[in-house]
Amino acid sequence: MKEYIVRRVIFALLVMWAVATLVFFMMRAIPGDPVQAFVGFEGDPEAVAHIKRSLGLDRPLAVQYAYWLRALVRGDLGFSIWNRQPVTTQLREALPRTLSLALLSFLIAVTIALPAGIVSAVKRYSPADHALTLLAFLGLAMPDFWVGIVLIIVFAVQLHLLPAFGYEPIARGVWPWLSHLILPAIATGTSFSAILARMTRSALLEVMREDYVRTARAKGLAERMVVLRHALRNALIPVITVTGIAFALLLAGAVIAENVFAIRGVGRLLIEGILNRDFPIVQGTILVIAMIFVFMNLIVDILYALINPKIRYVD
Amino acid sequence: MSDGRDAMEDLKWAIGFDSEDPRLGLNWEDLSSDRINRRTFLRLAIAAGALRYLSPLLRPTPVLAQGRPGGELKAAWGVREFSNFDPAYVNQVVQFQVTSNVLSGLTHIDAGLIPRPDLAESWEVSSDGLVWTFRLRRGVRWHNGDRFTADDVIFTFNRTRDPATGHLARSILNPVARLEKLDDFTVRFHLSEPRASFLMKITERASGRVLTIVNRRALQELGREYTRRPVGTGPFRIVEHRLGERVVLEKFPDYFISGRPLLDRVTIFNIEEPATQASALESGQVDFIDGVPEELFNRIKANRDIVISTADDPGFQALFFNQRKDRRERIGKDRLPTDDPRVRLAVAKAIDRDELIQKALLGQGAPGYGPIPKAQKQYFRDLGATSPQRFDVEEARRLMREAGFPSGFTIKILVSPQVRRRGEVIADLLKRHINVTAELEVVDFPVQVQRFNTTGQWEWCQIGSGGDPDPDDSIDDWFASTSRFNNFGYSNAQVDVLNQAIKETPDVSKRVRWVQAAVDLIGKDAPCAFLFHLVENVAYRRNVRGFAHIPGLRDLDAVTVQ
Repeated sequence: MKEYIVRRVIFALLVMWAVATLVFFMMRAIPGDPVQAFVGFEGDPEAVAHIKRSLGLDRPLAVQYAYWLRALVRGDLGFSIWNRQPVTTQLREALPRTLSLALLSFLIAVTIALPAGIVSAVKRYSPADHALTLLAFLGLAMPDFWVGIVLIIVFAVQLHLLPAFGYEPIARGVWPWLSHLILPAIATGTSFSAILARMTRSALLEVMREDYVRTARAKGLAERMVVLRHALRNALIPVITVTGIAFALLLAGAVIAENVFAIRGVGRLLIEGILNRDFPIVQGTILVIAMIFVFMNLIVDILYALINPKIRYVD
Repeated sequence: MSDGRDAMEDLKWAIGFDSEDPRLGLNWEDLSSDRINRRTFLRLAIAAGALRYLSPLLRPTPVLAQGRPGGELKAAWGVREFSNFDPAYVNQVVQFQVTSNVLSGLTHIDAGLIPRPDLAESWEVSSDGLVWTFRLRRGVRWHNGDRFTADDVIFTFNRTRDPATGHLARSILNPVARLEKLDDFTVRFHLSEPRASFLMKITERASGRVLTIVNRRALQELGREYTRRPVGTGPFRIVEHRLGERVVLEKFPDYFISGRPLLDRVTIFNIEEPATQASALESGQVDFIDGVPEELFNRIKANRDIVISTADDPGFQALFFNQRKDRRERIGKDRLPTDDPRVRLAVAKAIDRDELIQKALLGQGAPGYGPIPKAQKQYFRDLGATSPQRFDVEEARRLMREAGFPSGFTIKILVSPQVRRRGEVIADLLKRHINVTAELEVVDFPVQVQRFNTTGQWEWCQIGSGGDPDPDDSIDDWFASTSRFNNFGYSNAQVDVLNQAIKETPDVSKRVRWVQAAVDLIGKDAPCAFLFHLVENVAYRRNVRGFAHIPGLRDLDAVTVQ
């Protein structure tokens, strides 16, 4: 197991280098010069030339890449072209926001999805199943930004229960932190819970047809035990795969809620960076997102082993 | 110089304007601040046909309804982040809106876009318009406790001028040959050519920004951090700035205008999503929003707890036609249908401004027939009935037939995603009225600017100007042969001569006439089809008082919250 993890970590580093390199060259290939974008209409040619020189953007691409890689190894992601602040500082500010939001969305999604999926599978074709299926499709069909706007109108404008926007760090108190996150987390979590519920349902249904479930029933186990102890455990494998990747997706995908609720998280930082052609911001943000993806994949693979005794990573 | 003078004599003759008219004559000295008297004001106003704006001037200064001082204003700005507050790197109008509350210039415009004293107490200008002497306020403190003196003006001037600073608007300082310190509180500018908009474009605190005064010690101490939390001499100081989230301003107790600001604190949140901004205002989480999105205008207007303050946006929007000489290399075409002036005019005449404004801006705009915005009250004229570009389908079709395009043509319009709807409405109008098929090429705004300004890869382009308090911003920046934004290949020698005269003449009445003449020529030549001028809607809750709306700006020093 230990060797497996070491191997995976080395592989992860390689993947991240590849992603970072790809982004480095892709950003330079898409139309739109970053300094021109920054100076906008003012575009004093001397100022443009000066800024390019000071950012090293006048050097050959290979040289730029070498400098950038050397800084990266030292953990230096450079400075934003737009706001001149260090990229690492901005990511450090953005990460807790996105992590909080993703975690809460994830909790909401799982709390809704697992029971719903199980009920749907166990009571297949019952009115409850139909109702839950309908709800799941509704959840999938409603765009996150629309759900967000409706939530704001109901809970902030009409009922005055929760703030309409913004973020407070948990250091300022649990309630201020939580109250700012509830609405965006619901907006992000609902569509995700719909996917998750459908996944749980179909996985569970498949497992319920397996011989060992029939055996468990035959030996007289209570249905509850059959479902929870025997079926669900196996059904969870595909669910965990989806969940793991989806959590990483939530981190990047919270961007819609981040935008609607004016939370400057990683997703919003990335979109901003792309629109502004702010190379260092885009490179840094994608690198962090890639890191999270790779890490989540690793966690998922380890979880497999814990849940299913049949899966073991032999040294 | 002499060429310019001759040209001006020609112009006077051509326009039939009597410069000897005793009512309207105005010379450089009249622009010195301590000599602006009632007579001068009357002349200015009469010349500008602005008598209706006079009545408040003749009465004691009207005092806006004010409430108790103190308290906090919570506001939301519809912008992702305030990237830079250092005047050298400010690249969006919204950033001035905050810096105007924190930093100062020698002058500052009022709601009528007239420059008033800011850090300068008064000024004098020589009879040739080349030497400007400013007396500075004494006893002014910086937010970090330093004393403000002439050295700060000199430092800012040198910093702006130094190429190593990378000041984005450095070239605006070009007409200034040198700046001289006479004593600690007097500075003198020596210009290489007279500049009528000097007080507006060079010394103004928010729109000018080449001489928005910065603090040397703070720049050294803070480094890059200065652009996030600049130190100024303005009514508010920045105490917290979480990039992309909020800026917190606090009352500066030693502000040089006693009794200002009235608020203790201002928190400005960055909320980019318009629906959220509106909801934040409706829910009372914020008291003030910097703009009302068109699609939510009616909803907000219907709310009795909210007031909308409307001002004319100082800018213009147009559909430009590429007449550059390098089109073969840039777009692979030697000719475009709009090389024919009749076709350009036909396109301009086929656009029903009212329908366009209704459909694209949901009514929030004013028809445009030239570059001068309504906000430039002294210079704006309503050309709806007289402009050669006014909507007339029959005439547009006749011009198309004459030019040999009776059944239209196909063309590409470069637009950014934010204004896609405008492009679609224009394309529809052109199809319906003159059978021109316009295909939209939608690219991110930075790409659009780069292609419009630098690479020249476009056929037609919908773009516009903002933050234009003076005719120089509208004409000199865009429509002279060597204008910095004239990247569409327009050139008219008469316009160039008029432009030079407009730039150099202090007399508003003459400027008004020459601006009119230039606008007429530009309208007829149609390097672009003028579309509309935007309006600025600022909204706040009824408990907010005292907001004086300067077009383009959001000065909060007189605001109170009940």
